[in-house]
Amino acid sequence: MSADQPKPTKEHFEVDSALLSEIGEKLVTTPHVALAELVKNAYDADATEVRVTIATDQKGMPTVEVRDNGHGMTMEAVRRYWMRIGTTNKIDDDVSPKFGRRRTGAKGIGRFACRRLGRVLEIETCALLPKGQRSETGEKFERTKMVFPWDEFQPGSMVSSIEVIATTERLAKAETGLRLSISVAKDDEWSYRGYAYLKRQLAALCANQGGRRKGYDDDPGFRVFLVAPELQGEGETEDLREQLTNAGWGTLTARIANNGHAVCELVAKGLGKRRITSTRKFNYLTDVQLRLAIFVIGEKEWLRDKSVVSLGNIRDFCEDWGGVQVRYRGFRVYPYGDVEDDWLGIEMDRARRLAKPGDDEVFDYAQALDGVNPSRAMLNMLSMKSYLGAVEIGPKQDDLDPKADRMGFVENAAYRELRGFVRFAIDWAMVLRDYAVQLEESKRRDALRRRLEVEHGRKLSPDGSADDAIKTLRYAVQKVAEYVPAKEKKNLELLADATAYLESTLKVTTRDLSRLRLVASASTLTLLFAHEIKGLTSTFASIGKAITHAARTLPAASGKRLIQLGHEVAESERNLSELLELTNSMGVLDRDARPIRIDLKDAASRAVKRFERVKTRYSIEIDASAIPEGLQVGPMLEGELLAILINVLSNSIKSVIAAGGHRMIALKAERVGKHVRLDVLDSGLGIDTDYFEEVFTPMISDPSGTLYDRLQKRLNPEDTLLLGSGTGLGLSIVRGILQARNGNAALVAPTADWKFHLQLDLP
Amino acid sequence: MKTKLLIWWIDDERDRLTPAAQRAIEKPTHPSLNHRRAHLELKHVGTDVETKAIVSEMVEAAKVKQLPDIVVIDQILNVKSSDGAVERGSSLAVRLRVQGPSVPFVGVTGVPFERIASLQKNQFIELFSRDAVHKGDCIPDLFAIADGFATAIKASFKLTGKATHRKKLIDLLDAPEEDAELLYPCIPGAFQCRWDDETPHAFARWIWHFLMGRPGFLYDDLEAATLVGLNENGLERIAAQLRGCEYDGVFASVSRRRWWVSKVRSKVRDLTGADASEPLWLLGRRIAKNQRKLFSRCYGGTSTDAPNVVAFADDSLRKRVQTRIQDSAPLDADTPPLGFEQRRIFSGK
Repeated sequence: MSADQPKPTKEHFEVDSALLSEIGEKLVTTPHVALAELVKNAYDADATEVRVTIATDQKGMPTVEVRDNGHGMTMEAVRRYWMRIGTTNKIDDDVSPKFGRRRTGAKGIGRFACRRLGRVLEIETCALLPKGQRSETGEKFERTKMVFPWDEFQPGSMVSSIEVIATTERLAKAETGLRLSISVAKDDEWSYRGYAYLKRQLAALCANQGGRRKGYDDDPGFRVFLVAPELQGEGETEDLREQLTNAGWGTLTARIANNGHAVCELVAKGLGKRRITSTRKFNYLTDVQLRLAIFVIGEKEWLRDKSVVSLGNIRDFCEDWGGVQVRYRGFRVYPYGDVEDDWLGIEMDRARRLAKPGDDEVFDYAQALDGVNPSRAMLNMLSMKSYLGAVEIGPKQDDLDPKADRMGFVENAAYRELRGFVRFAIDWAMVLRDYAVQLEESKRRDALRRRLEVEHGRKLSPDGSADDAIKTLRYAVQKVAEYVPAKEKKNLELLADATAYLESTLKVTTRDLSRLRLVASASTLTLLFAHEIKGLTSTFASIGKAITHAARTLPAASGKRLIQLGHEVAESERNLSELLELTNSMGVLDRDARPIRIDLKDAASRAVKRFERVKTRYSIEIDASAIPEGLQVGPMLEGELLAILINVLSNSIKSVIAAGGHRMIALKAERVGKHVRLDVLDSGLGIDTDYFEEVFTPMISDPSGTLYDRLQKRLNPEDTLLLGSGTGLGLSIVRGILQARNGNAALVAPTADWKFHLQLDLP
Repeated sequence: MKTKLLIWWIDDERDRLTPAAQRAIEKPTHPSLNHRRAHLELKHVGTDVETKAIVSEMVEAAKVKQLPDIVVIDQILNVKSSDGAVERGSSLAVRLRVQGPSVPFVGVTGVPFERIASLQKNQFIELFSRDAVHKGDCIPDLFAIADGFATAIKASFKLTGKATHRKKLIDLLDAPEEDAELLYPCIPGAFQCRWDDETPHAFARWIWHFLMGRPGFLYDDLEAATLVGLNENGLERIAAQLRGCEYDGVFASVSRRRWWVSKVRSKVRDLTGADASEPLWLLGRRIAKNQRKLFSRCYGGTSTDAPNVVAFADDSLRKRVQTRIQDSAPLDADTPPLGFEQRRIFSGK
């Protein structure tokens, strides 16, 4: 190296104090955000409790104190993390050291956010010293006090040049934690709106009501107490956990009274306070109390206190903390209430779409509520995540035995009762939730009705019928018509036509619905009847066997008649069993049924068999041989296919009996494109082409008016019931089912050999 | 094998088992059971008699060594347990089995099987329909389960888990020599170790529902008929010549006839003297004297060749048909255990 060359020097970056303002005041826009950041720091420091006090000094300016019971900091930690700008410890360690909490703050801005709150920051912190640094005299805690005079960090000065005075002392006994005291505020920026923001932020942290993470200590939960005399009442402390519990749709509490009955109370939006005492006694339970906050995730209108929770943070904290926990003598019992746990069977019941309350008493309660359908009251049951709270089991409770591995209780009678008690309370609350929804809807309708009556002078009936709505709509159209310019008349006509169409559709739907309600009730009765008759068929079977068995012991001549009788009984039993099996397959109440592929020939032969008796009595020939073996239809419900076949066969049978002569019905099938075409042909009365569409209209059973008159003449009176008098729904049901499965039903002109030809396109 | 069985019948309705059905069980008329008798003890549970009384009775019976040979329990017991939930027969079976692990438990129900959860079904060796009980169709099975279970329990004391003792397990099944080696890896490990109180029940279910319940080592009549190119009538026609090929091991039941596939193969070749190059279906037909009406045929006329598999006719799983493998598809969600065939479904036309 030559002597002329300049000597290199080592240079360093220095940080101007102006940076603190950039990452403090400017990044944190309001004091509420600043304070929320400080509390998040406490959460990250494994605190279980934080007290925040917002008071005023003698000059009337706000002062803030944040006091937590977290792990605190030693002087070394203060130097390494608190006083070093841009440390990445929260990013490197994304969970807290003791409880393994997912850290909530990661930008490291909390400490500088203090600047937003006041010009003087005083820190007092106490922490447990690392083992190697503890003194031999037993002093294992270190308490540090520091004062940060922010005003001295002026732009133009280097951050590192400003001295911050710290004092430390070592103690044998102490509580760990941190106290931040912020004073000398520049402005009073606090507002009620900002205060609500602060509460929402902090309340979401309070949803942590305790949990366990692998490799860490049990987390007992996090609570925030807020004291702000200027913003709330004098002397009041806001327990944010408590406020959170009372902010959702409802708060459910339940306990076991001295007499062993469960006493449940629900305070909920739209309902006020409701109470029930179970008639059932819980013999094993004594010292058990339930308290749950109930949130309707994703529905803002069901919040009772929007200043504490927002729609967004409900979703987040319910996802993380939702569930019904169990606390046994103050300690949480795992895994009850964990994310994947379903100890109450709520998710299972939701998965199988349980509609009816399992408890008779809850069912009866639902029955008494106006507008609630007790058989469907549980359909909108909220998920396990929607509940936030716990069952507290006190010291007087015996019989509940924790398992040896401390994971849950032994499944004994007391535990089953505990589960039954909690489900009773929740199911009851869910019935009331259904009721609240109905009430809310009626209220909305009433308000609209009143508005229409008061502001628009329309008189409407209180039951809010759809007819009224249509009439009002028509009235509105007429009113608008008076002022609409001529060139807009076309649009007005469209509106008038749409109203008329709506009215007509409504009429048809209402009429169909009332008939279908009756049909559905009849179907339920049929299933009940089928169930009852099942026992009878079994008796038939054993009688048949006994007769045949006895006949074998008799001489051949006298035994022969008995054997024949035995066969007849057995045959009746077989027919009855097949009929019952068919009824079961068509059961409308079978919610588990799923669309499947079905062998058409097999299904047709089962359907034809149902008419065996009438076939023989009226000499009807039903030929299904032209359905190819192995031809499958579907996917569709088995009950749907059977309903189609029974309906079309029943129609044809009635028609061929009415027509007389050679009574023939044929079923033919072939694959046509993506459908299977089933042709139903008969030698009955036939239908005039004018009525080809009309027969598919619900309630029109005999468009030409000849079928039932003739049928009456030819049918034996006892068979009238067998074939029915015609609801006029048969072919409409057939077409409805097929169209819902992308198929169709249509009448076509029959060829010379036949009088009737129905063409079905099956999926 | 005991000539007279003691059967406990637990029901919540006193008169549901008709006198005729009771007689049919106590004095079975099936020709294979004409020397067998049973004594039925009807145990009623209901609001006045709690299930715990039955459990205590089982404890007492175990003490005096008078345990029943088989217990039949109604699955839908209209009995409420202390938490208000309706107690099912399957739960009672679990409680009783703790007291009497050497007793087999079967269930009976009037509701469709598909509406009963598998966990509940699994607590019984078999769940019978009420119809099967009243018609007497299940009686041979009841005797077979009671006999099989007693044999298994007796043999279990010799099963020490050592490899040399595995043969005793194979002996229980009366398996042909050529199947024995294949069977070892297919028998669940739990049965090849020393048995505990739960093992006999699990073993019985494995035999009943796997070994005898699905194609693999054993075939039922329709599957065996398909193997030898015949329909079921055809198989019946040559059954006498195939004598000795039926499964005769533990739990064998006359109403659930099964055939050792390996034995049928070698027997058919022995009977015809044919070598391995000739297809089995041709040989079976030859034994049936080539009568066309006894021949198997492909369902739906899908093929002119002889069918080679049995498949369900459609998704309702109600009817089984003979078909070709290419005209059928594996049944979704059916994963056969090692050594067993996959169930199939006819693919349609």
